[in-house]
Amino acid sequence: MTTAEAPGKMVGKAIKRREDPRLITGQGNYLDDIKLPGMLYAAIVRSPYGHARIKNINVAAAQAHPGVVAVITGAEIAKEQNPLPCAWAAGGVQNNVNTPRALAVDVVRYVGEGVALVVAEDRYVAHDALDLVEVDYEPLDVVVDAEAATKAGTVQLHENAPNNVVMHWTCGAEQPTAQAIEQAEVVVKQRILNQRLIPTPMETRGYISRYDSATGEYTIWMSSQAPHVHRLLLTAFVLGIPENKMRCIAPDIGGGFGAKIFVYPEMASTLYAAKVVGHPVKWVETRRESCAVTTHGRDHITDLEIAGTKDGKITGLRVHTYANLGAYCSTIAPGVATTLYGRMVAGVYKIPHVFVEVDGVYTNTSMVDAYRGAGRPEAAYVIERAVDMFAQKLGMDPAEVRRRNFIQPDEFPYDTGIGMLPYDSGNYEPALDKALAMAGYKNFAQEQADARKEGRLLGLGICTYVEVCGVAPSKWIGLAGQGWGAGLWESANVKVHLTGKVVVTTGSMPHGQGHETSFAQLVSDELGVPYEDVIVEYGDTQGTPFGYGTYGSRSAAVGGTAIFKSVSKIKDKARKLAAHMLEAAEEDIIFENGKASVRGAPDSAKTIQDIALQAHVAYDLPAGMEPYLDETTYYDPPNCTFPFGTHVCLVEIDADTGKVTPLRYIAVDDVGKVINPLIVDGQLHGGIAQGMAQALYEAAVYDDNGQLLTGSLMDYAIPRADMVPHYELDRTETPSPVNPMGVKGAGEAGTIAAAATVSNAVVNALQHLGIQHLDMPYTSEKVWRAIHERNGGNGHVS
Amino acid sequence: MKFSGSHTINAPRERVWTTLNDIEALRTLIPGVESLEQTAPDTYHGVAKIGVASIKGEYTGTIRMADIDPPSSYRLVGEGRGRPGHVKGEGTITLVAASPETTTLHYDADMQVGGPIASVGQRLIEGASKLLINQGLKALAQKAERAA
Repeated sequence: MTTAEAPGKMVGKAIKRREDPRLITGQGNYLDDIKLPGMLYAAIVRSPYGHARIKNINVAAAQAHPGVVAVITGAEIAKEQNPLPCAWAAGGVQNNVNTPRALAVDVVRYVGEGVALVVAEDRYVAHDALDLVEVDYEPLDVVVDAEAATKAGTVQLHENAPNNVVMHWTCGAEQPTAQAIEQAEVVVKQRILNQRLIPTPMETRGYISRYDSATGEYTIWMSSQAPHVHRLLLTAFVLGIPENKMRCIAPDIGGGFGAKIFVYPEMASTLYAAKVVGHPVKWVETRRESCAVTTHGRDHITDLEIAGTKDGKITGLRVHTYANLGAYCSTIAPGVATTLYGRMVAGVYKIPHVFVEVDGVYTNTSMVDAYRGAGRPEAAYVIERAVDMFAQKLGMDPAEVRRRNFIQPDEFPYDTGIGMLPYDSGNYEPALDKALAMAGYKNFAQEQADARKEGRLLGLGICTYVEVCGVAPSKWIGLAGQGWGAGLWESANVKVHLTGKVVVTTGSMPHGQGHETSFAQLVSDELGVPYEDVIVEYGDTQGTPFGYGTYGSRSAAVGGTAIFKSVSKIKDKARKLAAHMLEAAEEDIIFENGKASVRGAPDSAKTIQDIALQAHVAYDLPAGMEPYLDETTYYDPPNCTFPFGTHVCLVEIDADTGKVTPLRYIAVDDVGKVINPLIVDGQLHGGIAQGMAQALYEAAVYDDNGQLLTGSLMDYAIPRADMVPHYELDRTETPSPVNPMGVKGAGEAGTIAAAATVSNAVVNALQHLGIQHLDMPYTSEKVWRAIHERNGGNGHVS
Repeated sequence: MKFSGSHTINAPRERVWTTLNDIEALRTLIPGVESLEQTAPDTYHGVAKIGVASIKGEYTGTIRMADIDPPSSYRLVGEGRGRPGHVKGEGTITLVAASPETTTLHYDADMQVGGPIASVGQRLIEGASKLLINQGLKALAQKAERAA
């Protein structure tokens, strides 16, 4: 048996991801790479109307088309299946929930809603046959704007939702906040829009459903961030079958950004189709379908008022938001727009009085749900723009206003008073100082003034954000609290095989986060085995313990802790067995660096590999000990974690064209302890790019008839590499007291901070023109018009 | 999408009106028309083939003349459906006698498109439509002028 030397410290090492060689050389196994014997292909007839009654569907011509196996309509599936579930209604209030079915029945409520499913021998035939399905629609009135949808006389999408309101939700104290604003020395009011975004994962969604008529069991391969949750929701709610009659398998996932958390109509329709046709059925989303029907993100209309004293103390914040949730409630949409948004608007500041109201609204648009950051980018945008506007009104340095209102390091755990769990730990000023030093902030005002003399518009934006990660204690987030329809713990099993090799199975489901690498680093250190000896398995409900999935930057803090605790249990058992092997008392055994030895006699050590072998062969175990080193943990976190940081962006605006060029982007993040700095940096790079993209380029646009005008990547502007600057990253490290590793989470931080940072930079460049706010995205036309209007019609500013 | 414009035609208003009321005129004015048959007084059914960017295909639909006020104006109300989506629109054509021998034609149209053509091609449709309308009107003007 090999007795590998205990490895060096792996946690904290910037090692390359072990996933990458396969993923970047075409060796990955994505959904569309999977081909099953006898597999058929599905394509979906989709509504071209934003709102219409389906008068008739004639499938005869499509059915007669050579190669077409079946054409399935919504009415047929509705006899067998329930509508999809909404698993997170807003907590503590009435929710007028309406969810989609596998395919529409009688009425379509957004462009792209599925009307019929064509199953054919190949995918080209399936797509060709879509044209042969004749659907007779009677167009109905359409509403796409969330505020307009709530007004009397507007078309109603659902009978049980008067004025199209899903829910009206509040947090904080209304009267004291109103009073604080009324009595304040300075008040700034502003309407700000957080525009709708299309998540655009590189790999679109796709599913392969199979039904085994002999056993009555379904298997579904899915591009998914949460296969266990999908199994639970599809079996218990949609199909009404026992959970053990379905197996969900998530292969390699090419990005999700939240959009692959949810239960989708195509999961349900392909499951139905597979049973009806008796063959596996594959459906892979086209890019245009991905733009139109995979959930969108953001889409808030917010009216805010921030109040304070003349010397820059914030005394009150009042926020009202219309959250456009689309035509139906997606899986966790109402909860995202309330708990993850409203309860985070106080940001990093001590604000005595905060009141937030959210109206979730149905409109004739695609469903909106969590998208990278999920509520927290919207919250950060509100508070960070508000603080900048407040500073602008006072004529104060926005960095100084932030400093004066920061929660102080000795005040943690800190309760913001609006129903969020107490912030676990924080130290906001060092991150701000570091970022400002990197940016050369003390010279910026002069540089900006000098540049203006040359006719150049420079702007610098600061965002000091906090977010909530590592979601969440089940009791707090659950039905009686925040309305989440289950628990939110994580699980892990760790086995040490007789060769000393370690297999970790996690309920957590990576889709780009590098779990295979960072979890192996963690186990390598904790168990004292070589990094190479640890493999991490996930993604198949058969063979992994239940997990709630990867989102809310929870994998390290919650999934990682479950692994940590399983390793601790393994070490406990190893210590017992080593005591038996060394004929010593258990309390005299110390386990360090993969070796158990008698205190004071290091030469007597038994390695974890020796112990694993003995545990497996079981020739001589202590009385009552079971064979094998195999431990499972279900870990429910006692609190969430609250990463924070300061981002700074420097932009230049061409006054003649309105073009905004990001010159520098500086991010100092505090994500707690870092397991793999390379992975954290990678997450920040991607996150910042997505946040900057919202500020500068991206917007999902519907016309008044509910037609999606940005239905392809010709019109929806995701950035290219040359459209974002080099990122200058640094960190501070404030460990989380919530979990034993001290980690917080890093998957969404970049996105949460970046839109507000860039927005503040653009407005900073224009504020001498009297501009208090401009809505994103900052297209050249929008910026040029803003300059032009405020400069007496003269587009040139100097 | 709204379009409007005007055109001067070197022909008397009555003659332009006659030209405009010919089914041939509609064939010239409707972009990409493949066939057009009269199905009722003032109502026509037809097929048009139009492509914008990658969204190409046939539309089947009807077009109806309404509010006919000879020789000065009428309204066209049309609706078509096809694989690329659906198109619905209406337009008013007004003729003003600029002189006994010249006529000014004003057009005003509002068009709504839906389905794939809206999500992929809408940005291109406006420009393309203006081009096609202008081509159609030019052809019509020439026809009226030649009819002398």
